[in-house]
Amino acid sequence: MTVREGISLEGLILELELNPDAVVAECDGRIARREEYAATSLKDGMVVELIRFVGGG
Amino acid sequence: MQTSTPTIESSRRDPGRDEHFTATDFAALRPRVYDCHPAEVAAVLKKSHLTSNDLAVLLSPAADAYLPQLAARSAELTRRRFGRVMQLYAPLYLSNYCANRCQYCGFSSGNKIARRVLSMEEAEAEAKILSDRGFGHILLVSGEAPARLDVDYLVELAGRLRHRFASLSIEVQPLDEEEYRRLFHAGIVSVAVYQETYDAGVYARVHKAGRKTDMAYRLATPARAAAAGMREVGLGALLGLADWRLEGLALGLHLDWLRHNFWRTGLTVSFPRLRPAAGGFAPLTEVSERDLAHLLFALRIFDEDLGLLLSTREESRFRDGMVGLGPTRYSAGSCTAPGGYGEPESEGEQFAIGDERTVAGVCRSLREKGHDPVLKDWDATFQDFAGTDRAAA
Amino acid sequence: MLTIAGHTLRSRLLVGTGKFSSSRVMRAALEASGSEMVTVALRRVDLADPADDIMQVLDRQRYLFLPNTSGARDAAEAVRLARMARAAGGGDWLKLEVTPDPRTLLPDPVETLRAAEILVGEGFKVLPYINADPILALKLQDAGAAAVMPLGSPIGTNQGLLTRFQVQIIIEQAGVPVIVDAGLGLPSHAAEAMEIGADAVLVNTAIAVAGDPVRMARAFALAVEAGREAYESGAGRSTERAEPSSPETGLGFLR
Repeated sequence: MTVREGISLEGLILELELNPDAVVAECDGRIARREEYAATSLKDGMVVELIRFVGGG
Repeated sequence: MQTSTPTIESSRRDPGRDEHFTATDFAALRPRVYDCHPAEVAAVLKKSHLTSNDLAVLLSPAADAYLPQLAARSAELTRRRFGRVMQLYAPLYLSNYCANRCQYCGFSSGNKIARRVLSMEEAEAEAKILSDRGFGHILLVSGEAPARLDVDYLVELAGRLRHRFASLSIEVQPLDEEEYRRLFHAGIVSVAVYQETYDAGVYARVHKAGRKTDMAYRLATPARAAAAGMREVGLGALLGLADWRLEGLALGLHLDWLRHNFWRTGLTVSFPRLRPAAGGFAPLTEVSERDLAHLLFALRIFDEDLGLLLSTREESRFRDGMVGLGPTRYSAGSCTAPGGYGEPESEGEQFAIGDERTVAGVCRSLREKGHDPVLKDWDATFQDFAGTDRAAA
Repeated sequence: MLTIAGHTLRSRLLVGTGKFSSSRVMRAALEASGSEMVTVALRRVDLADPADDIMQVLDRQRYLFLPNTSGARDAAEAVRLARMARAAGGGDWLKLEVTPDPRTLLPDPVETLRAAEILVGEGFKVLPYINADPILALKLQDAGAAAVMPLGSPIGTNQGLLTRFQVQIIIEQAGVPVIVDAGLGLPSHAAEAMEIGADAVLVNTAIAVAGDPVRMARAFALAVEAGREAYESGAGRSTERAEPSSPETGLGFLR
């Protein structure tokens, strides 16, 4: 996925129309803490996983 | 119509919440056993998972009239779980020195008897007699006198004997967990320690001196042995001290606690019974053969997996009659004086023998009753002993 | 009242939130069930449908979330999911589910035990989903699991309490709550689990795919209550065996 230069993790989440409070983000395999979202800048080649709760048994 | 106090009982056993099994107050146990109605007995006999309340029902006077049904249920459960098999073992008395003063015991420190502790060589010689008789399992017994027979002695003896027997058990003074661990690594796999009585008042009455006066320490002993890794722990109450029905319930609670806290440990129960003897200690309560059978059946129904032992204290007629009804282990050809196998005239017995038959005689009777006498069950090869060539194999 | 890891619940029916036809139906069914603890899963966000957010639908004040690690095929994946669940605000609660076989969805005992040991160490309240294996249940308990969740029959099969006998052993031996999970297809199955002494049951598929999930949820709620009442009233348990015949030897030998 291509995003604009210098975007923060939080910015990405918001751009995807997601609620940062309801989403877990893993950057290159490391779970980011919620308070870090705004400060975390995304770099080229970074693998970002966005996970949230869904229905399940 | 008499109704019992309703209790919300779970099919789950009373979970062990205490760090130690705490002695049960006989005054509190009494109504649980004595306020039972015959109809409850019939109901309990139909159940598969019994609670301690159910055990109380089976032990109650109301259950006396149901002895044949208790016997039948006990027989069925025993047959299903153990088959038509009786494991045989022999006691090996190492020493009759004792630092305790227990009113009921031949070894009491106040009694003037010939005292002896076997040397390593003497103990080995006695053991050889037993292994020549075919025994795979022996119980090393001593009075409780650490100054005469301590853990070092047992460790050394175990080292000498373990290659000769499938398993070694001990019935000696209560030890600490670390001591039991040492013994386990030396080759002892099971520990028998009888509470004698779970009634604190009676306990204090009959134990007059020595370390045994510490009831709490003794009560916590099975747990220490289990924690140390012993494969099996043997419990028992000396029948004839306190009310056998309440002892039975206390035993059940103790077993339950151990099952919950040490689920890997096998459990057995023995039924030593005081017999009136001329000039000897008179039992505080009377426990007939019928009572003993009743107690044994009740415990079998309560816990299908218990090993149940009857020793040669009991007569051959009784032991023969009980085959198939509940017991799973019999001693045979026993001598309870140190050195008594090699020297049958040895003095200083712990108790008089009721069943004087030889091993061959006991085996014959068992076969006649359609049971297989087993002299070796389990093999020490599987046991991981510290510092042994087996571990390296 | 049921207490798990210090938390008290009035309802012994736990409900899963998967497989519902819509959020609206799910919410109504949960309400009808009276449940206070619901399971949720963790999945990658569907970027095509960003608004589909279960957190918007469920009131966290009302329902205690029990995140599950469904999808994990080994301990490492389960631990990763658990940490994500916690980061997502799932709290310390965790239904540990390690299912390497996607066909049967049966739980891997070895990986489950491994993961449980790690996660208990990290402060999670671990509720492991397992086959009805009494030894495994004891080991998980020893490892610090807050409860054990033996299956009644494999997930989604609706076969009921096929593991009844082993579940009874687990109940008898357990020192922690036993929650029968998976395979309960009918309210009578749930009642049966409660009658033999289970502390709670977890139901998902049977409610979610019923013709009327709201009514089915209510039926399960009633069944769980009925089963528990029966159990606490101490019903005489019947056994499969016939009455014992008289003993082979009489008791005439006794003196």
